[in-house]
Amino acid sequence: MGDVGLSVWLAPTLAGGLVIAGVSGTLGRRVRMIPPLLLALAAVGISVVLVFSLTTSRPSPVLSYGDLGTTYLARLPLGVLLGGWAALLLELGVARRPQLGGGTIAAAIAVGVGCCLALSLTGLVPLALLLALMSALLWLRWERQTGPVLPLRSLGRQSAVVLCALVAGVAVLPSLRIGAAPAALAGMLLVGGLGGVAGLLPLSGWVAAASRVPSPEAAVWRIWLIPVAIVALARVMVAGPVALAQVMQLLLVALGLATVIFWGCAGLLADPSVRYWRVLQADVGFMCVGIASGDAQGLAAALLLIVVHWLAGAALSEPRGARSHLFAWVGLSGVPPFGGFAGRVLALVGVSFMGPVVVGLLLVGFGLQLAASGAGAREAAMRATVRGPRVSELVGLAAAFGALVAGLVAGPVLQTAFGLHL
Amino acid sequence: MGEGVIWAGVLAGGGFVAAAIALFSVGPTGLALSSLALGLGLGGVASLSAGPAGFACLAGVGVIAAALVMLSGRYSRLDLSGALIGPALVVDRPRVFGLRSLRAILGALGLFTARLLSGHLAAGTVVTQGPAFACLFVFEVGLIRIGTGRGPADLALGSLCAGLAAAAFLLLSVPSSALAIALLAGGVPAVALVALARSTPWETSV
Repeated sequence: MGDVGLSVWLAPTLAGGLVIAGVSGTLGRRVRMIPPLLLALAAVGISVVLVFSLTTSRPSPVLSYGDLGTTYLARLPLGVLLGGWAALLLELGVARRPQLGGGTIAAAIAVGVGCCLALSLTGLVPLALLLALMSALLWLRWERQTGPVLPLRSLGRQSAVVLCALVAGVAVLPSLRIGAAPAALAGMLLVGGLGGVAGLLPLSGWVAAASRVPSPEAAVWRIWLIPVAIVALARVMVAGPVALAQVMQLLLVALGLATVIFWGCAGLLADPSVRYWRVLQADVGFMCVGIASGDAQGLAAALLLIVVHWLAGAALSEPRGARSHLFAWVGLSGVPPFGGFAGRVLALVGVSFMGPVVVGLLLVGFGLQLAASGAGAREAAMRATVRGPRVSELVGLAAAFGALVAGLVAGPVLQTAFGLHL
Repeated sequence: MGEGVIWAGVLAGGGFVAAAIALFSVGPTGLALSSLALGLGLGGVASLSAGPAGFACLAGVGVIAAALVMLSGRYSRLDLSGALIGPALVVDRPRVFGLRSLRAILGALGLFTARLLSGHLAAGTVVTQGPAFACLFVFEVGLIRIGTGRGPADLALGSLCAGLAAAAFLLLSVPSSALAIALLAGGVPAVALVALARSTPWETSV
């Protein structure tokens, strides 16, 4: 795809102004619904422009370090974007109506538009700034929702650190090209920045913050920022210099394993109301380890886990649906042949060449996830007589069923959604 | 020692002065002063490779942000902190070290680290390590401001430090690069600084 040009920049700029006005409450009550509508139109317009400008015959251009780059959307990021919009629709379908204010929808769509831009730009500085801005936007939104409590302040620091790390990491990259090889510094900064968006340890502040806000608000981070950060990590590793990729591989495996073990334990011990966010974060560790393997199976593992969490996360967001919760926890659990199992096994296969220690630690994480999901399933089974509203329960059940089936049809799902052949 | 190397040292010294101001400044006036110093100091560093255009780009960001922060005291429409964050809950947090003492200790450690790292970092055609040293130190000052920050304004200033340092280093490394990218890297945190400069701090401790 060539340079899509002005429309790609103009629409989100307009949308950004509107969302700030909408979120800050400076608009009147009647006018407040206009920003979400305009944002939705802008989002649809941008998606249409990107999809119709897509050409699959050209190879993916090299990431650009020193300028704004052009816009280019390969098959895989396009799948992530379309999947994200579908996941957002699912989330809105299962949410309780009073929780869905205009600001919630506006913030979700604004972050989605920002992520569309981040994935379609080849310039690394705009990509870094967009990701950091999206995390900062969510921090501001959540802080307004819940007031200034400690997890939210930690998230604010995390957003600022992410911005610093990403812009500095991108600035160091041209030094790599001229052969001075400060690969360790650039690798640390980029993994710190992109890992911070995804929530890798030690920058996992969003997990505690997400537990404090209503489910539809917190879902935006899960639906958009984590998948986009994972895809951006994979893209930088493939397109960046070899020395950088080696450093990033080492760091991603180390931090990914630490994240799997820490959040796996936290998920096992957590209160039922916040358990899902811990399980998700442990799976982000699996995704990063998969990406670090550098082969197709590792990438497939990360993408499959993203799909499973899009579906299971929506089912678990349903306020009172015990049946869909039960199915979603089974899908996440790691019991063969369901979605969670397929994703984690693919990650294990992908990193098997790294030796028994890495595989052993991942198996420990696998077990912790199984136990945490089992506890979640047991709690859901004990509430099985509780039913949610009919429509949202049906949507939740469909999403949970999708999380179950994703593992059985992993190959076709990955091929259809992301163009990935295993 | 050539004249160019001396000149580079002088300009890098401007970057260190800016970093010191940004490290210790407090309050909206301090933030405006920091922004001004960072723009001029790092603009000078960038001008070694990118010339007057590089200086104008970064200095412009710093000067405009400083002017807007000062004006936000007079024109409340420029202060978006209330609209963006809402009312803040202020707590008193006792500290082992005072805030400035802590920043001074961390700054000394940062200076040492930046010296070590800058020896391994080449910035385009600039031969001396001084400018890269200054950029790294300003970046570390940004991280210190974020880590020890008492409120959203400190987070914004820390981001501005990192953004301008990255922009200056990018202009040193790739002089032919578009100035737009430097403007973007410095401008986005500068907008955040203007919007949040007068936000209520989370802690009362100084």
